[in-house]
Amino acid sequence: MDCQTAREILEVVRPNSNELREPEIVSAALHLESCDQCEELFQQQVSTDAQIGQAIRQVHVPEELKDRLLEVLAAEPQSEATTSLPSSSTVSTRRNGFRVFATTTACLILGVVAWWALPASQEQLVLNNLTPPATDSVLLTEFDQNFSVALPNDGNWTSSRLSLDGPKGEPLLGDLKHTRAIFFFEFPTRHRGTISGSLTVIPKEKVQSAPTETYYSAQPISSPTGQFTSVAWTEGDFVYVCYIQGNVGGQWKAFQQAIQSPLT
Amino acid sequence: MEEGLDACQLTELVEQHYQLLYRFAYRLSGSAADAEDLTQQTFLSAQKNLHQLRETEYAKSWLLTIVRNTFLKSIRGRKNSPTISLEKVQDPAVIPQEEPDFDQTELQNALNELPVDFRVPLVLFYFDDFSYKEIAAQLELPIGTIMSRLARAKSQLKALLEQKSENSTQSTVPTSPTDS
Repeated sequence: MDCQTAREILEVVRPNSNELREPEIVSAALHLESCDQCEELFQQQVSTDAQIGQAIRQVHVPEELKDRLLEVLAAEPQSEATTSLPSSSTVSTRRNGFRVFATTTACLILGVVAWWALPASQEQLVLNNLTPPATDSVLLTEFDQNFSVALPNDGNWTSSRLSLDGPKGEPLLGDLKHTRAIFFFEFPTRHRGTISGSLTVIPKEKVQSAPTETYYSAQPISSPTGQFTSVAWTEGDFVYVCYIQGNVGGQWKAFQQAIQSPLT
Repeated sequence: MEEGLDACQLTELVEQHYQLLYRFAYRLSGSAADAEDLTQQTFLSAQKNLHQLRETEYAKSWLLTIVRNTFLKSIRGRKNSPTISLEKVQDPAVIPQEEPDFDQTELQNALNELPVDFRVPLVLFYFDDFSYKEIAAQLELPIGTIMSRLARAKSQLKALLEQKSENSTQSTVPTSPTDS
């Protein structure tokens, strides 16, 4: 097992947990024993984790909160009781019963209509919140073919110089289906070495405010962590987001030009 | 409430778990007022659906799921992501003492800057010592996805904390005697 894989696995495992007995984790732990650099990084990580965990749990709870909660809960059943139907006379009960029936039916119909009319935006991604997939991650699974993924037509993404790996997939909207397909790539250049990155493909209807830019007009944006430059554009039924390692916009320009299709 | 727990046991649930839920809600939402609202809504929802909880040993997990779902529902209505300004003043919910290496305001601001898909598993990971498998079960996501998100969330959080720490170091040149 290589260093990156071992560290990626151990990053999410708690020291002294039962998970340490699992074969993949055992392999990672064995790697650690034979690699001083990883061992040192892992110990640093355990220490930082402990500090962050301690800091995250330090939240003051208001003293009166429990009383307030119990009061609200005690009041709730009473409020439900007051909404029950009066039983003063059979006629009024029947009328009220009819009203309740009519109201319930109307609400149900409205509910069904509203459900059908729900804007797709409730199940949409905000591109600004999207994060680059870890390059060469071994943890992402093969794309589940949730949608028919297609590479962009603009730009020669099928170039033999572009070493594409994937697609892998990741669910982002709370269900188990993959929302985005991810291709990792490496592209050797003459002056800038090998450019590494990934291409995310998302169906357009799953993106809130899909970009209006095309491949050729898309401008790079540096990520807050300073590790990636990204560009997003819309083409056909898909939104594409290309992440390139490094925060130099010039790399994107070089990359864009290098795989540009000959325009006829 | 024909089966499951009765109302008296709800009081016990409040007593046992309200602090955990509030802290969890605070770290997700970044505000004391929102955290209290989320905690209250969680227990109200629990009261209505108490029959679903058959075993008290699952109560903590069940309640945390309600907090998370209530939080996600609350931010879904907002147009923009719940990012809070870097200049946000420190919330009174944060305990000022015993904070050796992290500025609590910076920590919360860094958490707020993480995408929700990363923030939720990360807070669960750090908060109550859930394993990545338990988090995957809670969020109903594949284990690989959770491992990947946790690894990336931790990496981003550390990078953001370092960035904020550098920024605050650069901006701590006192401009008046009261700044020191």
